[in-house]
Amino acid sequence: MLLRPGSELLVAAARQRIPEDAEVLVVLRGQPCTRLPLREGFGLVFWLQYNLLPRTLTCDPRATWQIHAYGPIPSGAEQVAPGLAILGPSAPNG
Amino acid sequence: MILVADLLLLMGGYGLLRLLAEKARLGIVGTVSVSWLTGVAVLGVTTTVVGVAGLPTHPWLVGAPLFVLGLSSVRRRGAMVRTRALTLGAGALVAVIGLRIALIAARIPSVHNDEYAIWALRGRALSELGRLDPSVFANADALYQHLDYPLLVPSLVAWTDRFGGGEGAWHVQVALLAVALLGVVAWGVARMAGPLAALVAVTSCVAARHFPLFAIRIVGDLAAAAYALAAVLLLLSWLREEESWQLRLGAVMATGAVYTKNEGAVFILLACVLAASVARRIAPLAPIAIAAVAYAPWFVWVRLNDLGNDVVNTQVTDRAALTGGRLRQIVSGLAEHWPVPAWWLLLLAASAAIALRDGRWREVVVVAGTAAGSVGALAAIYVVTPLEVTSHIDSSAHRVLMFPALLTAVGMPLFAARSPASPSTTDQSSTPILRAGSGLGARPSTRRGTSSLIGPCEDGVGPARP
Repeated sequence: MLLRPGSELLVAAARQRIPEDAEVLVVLRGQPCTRLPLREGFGLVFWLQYNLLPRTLTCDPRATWQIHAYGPIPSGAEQVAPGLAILGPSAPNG
Repeated sequence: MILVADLLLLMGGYGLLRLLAEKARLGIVGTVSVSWLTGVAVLGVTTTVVGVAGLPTHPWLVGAPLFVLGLSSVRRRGAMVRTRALTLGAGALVAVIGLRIALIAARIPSVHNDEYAIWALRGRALSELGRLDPSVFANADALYQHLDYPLLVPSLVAWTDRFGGGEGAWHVQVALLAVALLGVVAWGVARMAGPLAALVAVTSCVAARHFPLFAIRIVGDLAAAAYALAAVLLLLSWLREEESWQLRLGAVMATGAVYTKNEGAVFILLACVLAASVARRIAPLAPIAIAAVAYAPWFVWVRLNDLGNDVVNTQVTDRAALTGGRLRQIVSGLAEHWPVPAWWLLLLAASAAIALRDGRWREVVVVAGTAAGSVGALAAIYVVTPLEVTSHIDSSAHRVLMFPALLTAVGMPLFAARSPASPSTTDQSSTPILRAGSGLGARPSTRRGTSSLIGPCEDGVGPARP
């Protein structure tokens, strides 16, 4: 498994908080929808694609629900594990 | 509920088997194995057609053809066949191995990258989104992977999921495809070369490096190998006996291979073209032609949504990629990851010599040509890969080489069985077994029974007797 510690915590929190019909933007190292080497945490994207179903991933920067990983954590986001945070609709976007 | 789902797959597969090959006698091992592969192929095609049409991929809809076929199988009873003790032994070996694999498979979650990034993901998406949802199946922007991969294995995962089976059950379902592979090998080799050869073939397949691993992992490689091997064995049977049901079932297996992995189409194309060439007939092209037609809906979906293949760089302009260092890397990489011992190739060559001496050159051409051509085609993928070639080979060659490696494993005992038509074995009445083999029907000149070295098998041989 190409995952870092905390991935399971992130999935559990995301499944609890994000509605099943939501689309989720994953921002990896400050960049949405970007391919990075696996050692930089890219494998997390696949893990989230799988475990968040039926929620689907999107590249729309206006997405209500966002997951920020291994990069800057925006204000209002809830950090659920080291380097991993969920940004929801109640917080200011971005 | 999952047992009901599996029974439906099996009965649906059996229904189509009886529809296409009413007079065929496959024996218990062949019938169960081919029925399972057929049922799963029907599920894969139906799910794809329903999904591409924009309809919900609900079990009641995608399972309807299986239900109808299953009902027809109840009405259409096949002829019971006598199965030889040794063939049953090969079947029992398959069952024991299968049970062990299933028990292991049932306990493992989907934690391998290719499972959660590709195969299980797509199955779960079909199940949880309830349709071929473009937000997953056509959304390369959001980094969903290998969107051009066909849907047979994901369909099986989704089917199992909708019937209440969790990740463990998905692994068992995929493992059953590997078990069906062994069953088809046992049946096909016993049919042409005798039950002892079948035992050798089954054991050789299981002994292949990584076979147990891929038998319990939700990936498409072993499933593609199962369908492709079944298709090759049916083509070989057709070369001996020219029964049309062999090509009809071959078309189903070809469709399964094409619907499992992209390279499945290459494997089948090679086998069909080679079989047609050696037979100097176009009939053996029917399986790949029918598979191509069945594949059309998925082909259209992929093209309409502009889904490229992640591992084929169509913009290759670097001539250096085609020569020198990269080719050496590819050859050494494929040799390193070849799933069976290299010295087996010597055994294959020795066995092929026996077959050639007996005049069975057509089998040698089809088996060796398909295996070699498949390796060549896979090597070509590594030539044009946009990925770093060594890491690409290290992460995939041991999987994709499974079909040609298993084909060589099956070829060894198959070739080693000598033909009764050969000068050294002209006395066909010398054994009861050969008498059974020679009673194949009205066209003895086109049919080659099997033989004395390992021994033929009457199990499931030829059309039903009146």
